[in-house]
Amino acid sequence: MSLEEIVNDLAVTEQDQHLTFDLSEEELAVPVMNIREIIRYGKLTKMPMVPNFIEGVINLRGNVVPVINLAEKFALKGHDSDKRTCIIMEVDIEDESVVMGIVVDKVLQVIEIPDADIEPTPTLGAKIQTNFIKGMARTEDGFIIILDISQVLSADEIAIVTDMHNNKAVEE
Amino acid sequence: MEIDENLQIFISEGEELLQEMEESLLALEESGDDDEILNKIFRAAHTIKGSAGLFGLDHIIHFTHIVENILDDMRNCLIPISSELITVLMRSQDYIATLLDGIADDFEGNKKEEAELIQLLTAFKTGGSEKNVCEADQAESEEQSHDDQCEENIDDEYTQNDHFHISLRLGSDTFRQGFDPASMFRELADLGEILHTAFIPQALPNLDDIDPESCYLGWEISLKSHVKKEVISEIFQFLDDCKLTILAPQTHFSDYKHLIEQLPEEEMALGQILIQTGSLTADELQHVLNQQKENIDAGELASQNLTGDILIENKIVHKEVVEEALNKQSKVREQKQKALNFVKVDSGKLDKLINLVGELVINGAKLNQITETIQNEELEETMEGLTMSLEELREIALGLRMVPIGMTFNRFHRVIRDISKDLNKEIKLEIYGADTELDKTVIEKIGDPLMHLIRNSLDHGIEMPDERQRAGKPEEGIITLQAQHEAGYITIQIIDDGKGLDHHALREKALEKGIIDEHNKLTRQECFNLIFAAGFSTAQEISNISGRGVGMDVVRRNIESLRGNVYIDSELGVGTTITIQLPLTLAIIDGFNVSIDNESYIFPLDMVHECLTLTPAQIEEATVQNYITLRDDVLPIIHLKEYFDVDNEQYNETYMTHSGRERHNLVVVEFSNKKIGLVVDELLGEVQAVIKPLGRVFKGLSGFAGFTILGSGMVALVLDIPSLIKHVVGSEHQYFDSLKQKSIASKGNRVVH
Repeated sequence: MSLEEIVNDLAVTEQDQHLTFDLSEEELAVPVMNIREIIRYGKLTKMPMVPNFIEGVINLRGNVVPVINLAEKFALKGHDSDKRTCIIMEVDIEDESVVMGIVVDKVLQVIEIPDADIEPTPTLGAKIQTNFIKGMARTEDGFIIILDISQVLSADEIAIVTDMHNNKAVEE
Repeated sequence: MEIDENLQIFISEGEELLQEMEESLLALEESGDDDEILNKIFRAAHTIKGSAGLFGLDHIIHFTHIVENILDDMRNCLIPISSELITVLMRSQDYIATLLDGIADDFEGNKKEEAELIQLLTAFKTGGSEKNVCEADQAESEEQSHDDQCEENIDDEYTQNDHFHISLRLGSDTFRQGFDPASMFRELADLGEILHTAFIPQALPNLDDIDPESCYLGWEISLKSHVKKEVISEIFQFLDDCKLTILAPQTHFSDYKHLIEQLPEEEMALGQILIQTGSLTADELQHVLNQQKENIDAGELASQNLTGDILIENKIVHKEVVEEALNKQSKVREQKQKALNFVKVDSGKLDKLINLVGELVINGAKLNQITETIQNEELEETMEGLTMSLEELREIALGLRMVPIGMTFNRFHRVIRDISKDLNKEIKLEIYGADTELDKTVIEKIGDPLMHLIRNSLDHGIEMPDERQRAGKPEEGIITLQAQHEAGYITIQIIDDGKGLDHHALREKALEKGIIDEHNKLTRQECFNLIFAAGFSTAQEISNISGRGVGMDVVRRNIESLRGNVYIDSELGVGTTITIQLPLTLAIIDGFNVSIDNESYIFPLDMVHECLTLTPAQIEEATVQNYITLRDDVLPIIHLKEYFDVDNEQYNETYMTHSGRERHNLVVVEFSNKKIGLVVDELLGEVQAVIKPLGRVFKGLSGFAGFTILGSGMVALVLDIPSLIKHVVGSEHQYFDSLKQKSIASKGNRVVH
């Protein structure tokens, strides 16, 4: 194997790596590329006047980071566990890199899912809105839903925060 | 085009050069004909052209080359300097700026505009060459004769002065040996007339390193006297280790050259002093320095030169060559100095640094708490040291963002020049306090409001020259821009000596526009402030400079968003003063910490008017309506809990059930002469808050100015008082008006104002 091939192979491997986690009894996955760190969930400041799926903000070594409750966002059954984990992700939104946290029930493992193994999203039967799903991966234990994280945390979705408040102001 | 690091440097340097060019062009217009300034402009254009060549930016080279040609002709007196020419050159400079701007987007400029400018520029060239015969030639011949004269003077190699020049550097032991320099001066004065003394401070060490018993003094002295050189030197004969040179009147140049070489100070600085003392004229100095340069060039002659055998003395060197050499010399020095004094840093890096320091301070506070519980003496001492360093670090870090406001002010020279030309008014700009320092973010955001205000002063404030003459004022109007520090704030004032404002007329106008109604009784000050109301414009007709009536409203809002204030004061016929008050920095504030629903919220302390606990009667009042009666006044209030969680039904239920048990505290805040009360749960006290922006996700959220991180490590929201007040006063204006009417009625005709 030539050096070039090895480098390519490594790069591919890096891209294929996904972190899987539990969220309301679903197994979901996000690409490792977007993940900055995984921290214990706690010491959160609630935000007033924001949609419910925004859990609040945390102090991440001096930076204020918004935390999103994925279960709420996907309208999944809530899981009131004390021991939850927060995955800090970095996503590009309109050319601007934004750091955000997502709250999950339990982080599982890092697995390799090559693009070829990702099957298109079924139009029916998924509990999560299909535009948030990049695809499904079949494993021995069943299907893993791979999230399209840039969609989940996309500008449109976040803009709701702003709109919601504005609408409220108008209503008043 | 991909912007790499080098190209970025080219663009930012180009912008600086253009800025310099603009300033020089304005100076040139003022002074008429100044070779030094012309050279500066030429160099700016030349440097941009040269650097553009490095990046293959042919369109910039092409245009700049034409500008450069014109400037070169101006230098050579082929084209006379005129106001029209300077206007075209300024437009060209603007055009180059747009070209620089466009690099990133591969925008190669508006070809039509370019063609027009080139045509205008070349028109000067042909127009100029005709005049060349009559005017420029004459000027040139004058200069020529001037040159000849210089050369004649230099030719006979002796200075034209008629006094002694004494160069004195005292030894460090002078005081210890019991000598008093003052007595030497007295003795010198007895011998003749001391024409000039120049103190040489270069030998003085830093204050920390000064040995109070040592002597670091030195002077260059010119003495008019008829005594012999020996008599003068007798005064200094007991001084062992001083460096003394006495040059008789009409000394040979080589002696001066020798003096300059011998002394440790910088040649140019010394040369300037020699000119000041009158011992050398500028031309003579050039000659001397030139000789020196030639010496260095002629390497093989170096040894001979050191012995004082100067071959070059007899050469007659053309003035231009000397100038070139001097320019080169001074330019190199300038650059050397600049590089020493400043380091360019990406402002993003600075922000990161400041964030990091903020984080350090927070962690330091935490560590301090832990230290107190552990009670270990060694640890406590270390902690104390650490805390002190941290505080110093924070001060310095915050200071890094402070920049002088002068750059922003200087921009307006051009604005005023252009606009006053358009309006046929004569207006001068005076600037004071340009070195006043302000947070970079504030500086960036204050430019536009200032521009609006100055345009207004130009357009509406300053009268036409004939009108001014009739009013007994000088034809030239003056706009003064000044900045100064004032206890935690900086004030910027825009003062014009124009026609002033008529507060009665303003009131009439506001009535007419329906901004106020008949019942509003306004003070003089309040009448002036009507100008800042939305939809208010005093201009009879809308001009392209100001008068759309949106400007002043936006100005006020922009200033308020910087947590600042703006006031107007004016006297009819005398002028108008606009005062802008701004906080020194946006990054850190004194805050007041309160809790609402167990979360901390920070009020900017300077807007907190008072805090009080609501009486049961007031609580009752507050639960049924959105105002309370405070000291016989109606105070609009916001229940922050309700305001924050209006949509959350679940929350409202809990709020209703728990509200009875909670203490109700009221924070009365005041901004822009408006007061409102905010109901909170608990008052927690003062804190220092480093404000962090809301960021991409929450930037649309109104009512909050940003986040801060508390000593506990928790994030807290900083309230945006102006927007909360606006919320109450704005969207519920009518509602409150009706409330006021009601309360007036209920209190039986008591006037509430």
